[in-house]
Amino acid sequence: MKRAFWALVIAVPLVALLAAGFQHDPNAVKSPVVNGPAPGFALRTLDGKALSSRELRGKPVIVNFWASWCLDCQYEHPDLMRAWKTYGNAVTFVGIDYQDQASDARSFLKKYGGGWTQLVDPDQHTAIDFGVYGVPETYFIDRHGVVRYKATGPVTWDVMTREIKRITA
Amino acid sequence: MRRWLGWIAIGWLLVLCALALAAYGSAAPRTSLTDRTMAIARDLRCLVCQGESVADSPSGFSQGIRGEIRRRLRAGESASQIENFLVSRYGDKILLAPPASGIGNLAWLAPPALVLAGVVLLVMLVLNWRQRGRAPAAVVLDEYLERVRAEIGAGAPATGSGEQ
Amino acid sequence: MTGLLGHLAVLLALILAITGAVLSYRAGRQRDERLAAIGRRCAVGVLVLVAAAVLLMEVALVGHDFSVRYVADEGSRETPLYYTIISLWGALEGSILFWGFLLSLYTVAFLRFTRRLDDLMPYATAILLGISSFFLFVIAFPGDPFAPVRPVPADGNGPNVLLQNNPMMGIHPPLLYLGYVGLAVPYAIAMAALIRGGPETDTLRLIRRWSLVPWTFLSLGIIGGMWWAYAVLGWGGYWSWDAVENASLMPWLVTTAFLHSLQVQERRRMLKTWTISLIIAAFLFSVLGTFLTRSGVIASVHSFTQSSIGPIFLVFFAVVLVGSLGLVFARGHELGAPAALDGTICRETAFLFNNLLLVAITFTVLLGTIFPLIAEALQGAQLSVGAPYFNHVAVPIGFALLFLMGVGPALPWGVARLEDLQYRLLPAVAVGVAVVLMLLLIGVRGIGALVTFGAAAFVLTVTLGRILEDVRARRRSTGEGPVAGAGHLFAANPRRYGGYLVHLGVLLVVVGIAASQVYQVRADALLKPGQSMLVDGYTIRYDGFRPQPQSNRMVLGAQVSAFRGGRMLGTFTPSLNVYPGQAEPVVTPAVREEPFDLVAGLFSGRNPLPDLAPLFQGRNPFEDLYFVLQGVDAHMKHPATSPATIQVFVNPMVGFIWLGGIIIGLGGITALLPAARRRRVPAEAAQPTLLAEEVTA
Repeated sequence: MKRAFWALVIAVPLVALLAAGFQHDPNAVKSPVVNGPAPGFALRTLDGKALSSRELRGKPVIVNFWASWCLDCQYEHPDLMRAWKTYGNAVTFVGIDYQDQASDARSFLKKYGGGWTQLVDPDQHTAIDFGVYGVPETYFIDRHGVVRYKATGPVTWDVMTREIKRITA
Repeated sequence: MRRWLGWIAIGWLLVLCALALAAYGSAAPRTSLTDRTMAIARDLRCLVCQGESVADSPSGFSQGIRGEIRRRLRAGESASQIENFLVSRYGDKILLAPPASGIGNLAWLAPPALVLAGVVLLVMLVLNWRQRGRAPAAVVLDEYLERVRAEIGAGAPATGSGEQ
Repeated sequence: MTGLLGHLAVLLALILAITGAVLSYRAGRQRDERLAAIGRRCAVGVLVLVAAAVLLMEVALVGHDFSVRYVADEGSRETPLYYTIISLWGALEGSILFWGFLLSLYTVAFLRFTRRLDDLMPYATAILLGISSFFLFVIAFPGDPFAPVRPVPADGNGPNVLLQNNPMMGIHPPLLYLGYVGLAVPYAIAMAALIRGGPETDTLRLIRRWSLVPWTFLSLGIIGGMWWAYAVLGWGGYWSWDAVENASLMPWLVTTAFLHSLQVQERRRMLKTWTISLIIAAFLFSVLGTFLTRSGVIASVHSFTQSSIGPIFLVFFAVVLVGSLGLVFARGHELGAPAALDGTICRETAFLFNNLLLVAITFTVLLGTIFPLIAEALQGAQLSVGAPYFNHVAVPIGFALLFLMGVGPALPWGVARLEDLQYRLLPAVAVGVAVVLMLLLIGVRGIGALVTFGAAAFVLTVTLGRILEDVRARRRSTGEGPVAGAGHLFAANPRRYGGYLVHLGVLLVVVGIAASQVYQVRADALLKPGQSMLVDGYTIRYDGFRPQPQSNRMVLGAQVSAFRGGRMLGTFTPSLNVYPGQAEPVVTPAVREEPFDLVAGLFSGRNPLPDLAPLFQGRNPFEDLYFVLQGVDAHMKHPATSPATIQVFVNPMVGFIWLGGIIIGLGGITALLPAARRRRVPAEAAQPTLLAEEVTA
């Protein structure tokens, strides 16, 4: 009967491995950008003005990638508005429009509001530099230019206040 | 007749070896920019799709990555530079094959190691079983039996593999 | 009402299955034929009840009874009838009900057609009913498709849109399930032999028969799945090394290894433990695959939505795994006879290496499939494992296996004589070289494909040579004509020639895969109506855009005409399907499939012959044209003038894969046929027969 215990040698690791699998989301992507320097960019705003990341140095920044066709962006928009109104003085808010038509983006902003800088990323170069793979994604960058947190999917008020505290500290 | 067939066999093996070497040496000299872009994209995973490569997926994400690859190729970057850049943005997960470093080594080395160990084990077993095998006289008989079976067309071995 | 009845049927079936399993086990222990008969009746009862449950589910689906949860989740009034019927296996709960139904069907078929091995049957019945009990438990409680919905919705959500786009959905999943589920029968027989203990008697031959059935279904299911992916998913390929594909490949590989190892066992009475372990492993892989695709643990195209069923399946897998391995380790050594060989280079060793390579491929596929889990568990690293990995690791092993497929049949049992080997192998090698050289001469390039074609020609020559050798030997001894001789020979030994037929089918598949992987050409362009693009010698003209509303979706079709050398090849309509409540449209490619096109040509009266001219320019005459509508700038007022982005793939020899699949299926069926009775042998052949019998005695 002792031989039968060899079965456990094979079975236990395999089953443990599969059980551990329940705790992971196969579609999640951990971003290597977090805790590293924020990528630089030089883009134009929706109104055509040039803006470079250099101009934003020394102040915490929130970069929000979004698109007018994205339902989750609509969903998170009120919280983003509220955060901008509350913390807009301490933190620079930057929106980057992702895979979108400028006209659609403008009418989205007209409909749902927003007053922070909105940039256009025509060839997705900046989005790829940030490691964006879907919208919305929000990056919290501290005053030293280090990405402290990345929110994938709609960002909630709680997460926003927590992370703003971290980057302004 | 038999002899020149033997030479052909050797020749064939040589041809195969030469072809195999050529394949490994040249590593597919892609011509057009699109081909080179696609060759890189094929090894990347579309992160918003299920099991599709960046080359195969029509998603916006994949289109963007393909554009980025194209831009960087035009700027003169090599395939591995581009892959390194994308890994620095998206992590190893964007590579459809695990990297040959760290834990990734396990994936690359375990199968060949298994084959190698299996071959060694099999050779040892076969030699061992050969020792236990029957006397040469019986061997010849067995081979004869095989032919007899084929000739009478029954095919079913007398040692018991026939259909019920 | 339907839901309640269905639930009741499942509950009763569960009780009956548990009772039957316990009674059958006791029947085995006590050698009690009366108890065994009750166990068998329980199995029949389970089948009747589960069949009733399936029927009730279909009634609910077709009758749009949205008070039944599964119907509310998967049915909808807009879904066409055909897709409503087959949505039984379109989602998690229904597929498990279908699993349970097939399992009880197999159980009864097994009991009905097997009348031997009295001391094993009760154990086998107990195991089959035990497995049934698990599935019925899942259907009855955590995954109850009959659960009531309150309040009753007016309409359902409708099935997954990918699954209602192609009629193949009605054929390929059942084939795969018949394969997966059918492996339970040989598993049960093998486990019964182990539970009973003692030396193995005649079980392996019974196992062969019952493993060949699911093997054939699995083969057809896998190739059918490839065809489905090719015709539906619209990325120009047919195999992406997705977890669900790997899950079907692993049991197939292991069963294939079993079918080969079995022959060594039959000839030599050795490797019994190994052989029986293989068929047990095949079922374990089948359960593992079912778990992987239903737990959400691994990312996959087809993985069903996450649910509480995952952990329950894991517990089941763990129990089956520990139980099976434990028995193999504890009792396996009692089965076997000491191994011995007469020669080092012989058929036996070829089979041993065949087993090694098949197991190595299986291991690679398993490792690759669960490697993201391993990396995350050991290092917290996120990794992907996809086509490039498998192509680099598994495919070279496959090459070795292909080569062995030629060497193996050339080797005799026992001990090989050098002259025989020369006679059988050298001409084949020469043919292989000739094919490669000829292809090089007419301008074919691409190392991987050339080596594959050469190796395939080599294997083909050996295989045909062996068949010819047998036919000639028979003709010499019986004096029959070539056709009658071959016929009698094949009828006398369907196993051997069924096996060869499978090999020929595999060759076609391999050649088709190599050609389509290496020589695929793709291009895309944004075209206005009337504009053309040139792709690899074809002219593709975009004729216009046509939206067509259908009951369950909006079909946006682009009309495309294809020409080569001034010859019109046909018009095609790749489309985008927009489903209500679905953000992303579903792509439906249009394919001009060469072999099917030939058949269609026969009936349409136009020249059905393939255009062979390209062959002489070093081009492949067997090419699929594959069109995908990538996007369209729809002009609302004049839809016909909308510019569209059309993607075109030229896929050479993909049709060989489907043809090979059909031949593999035919080979499997042939190998299942009983051998014709030994005929009275004419006088000249009497002597060898006597000799043969003398030696055996």
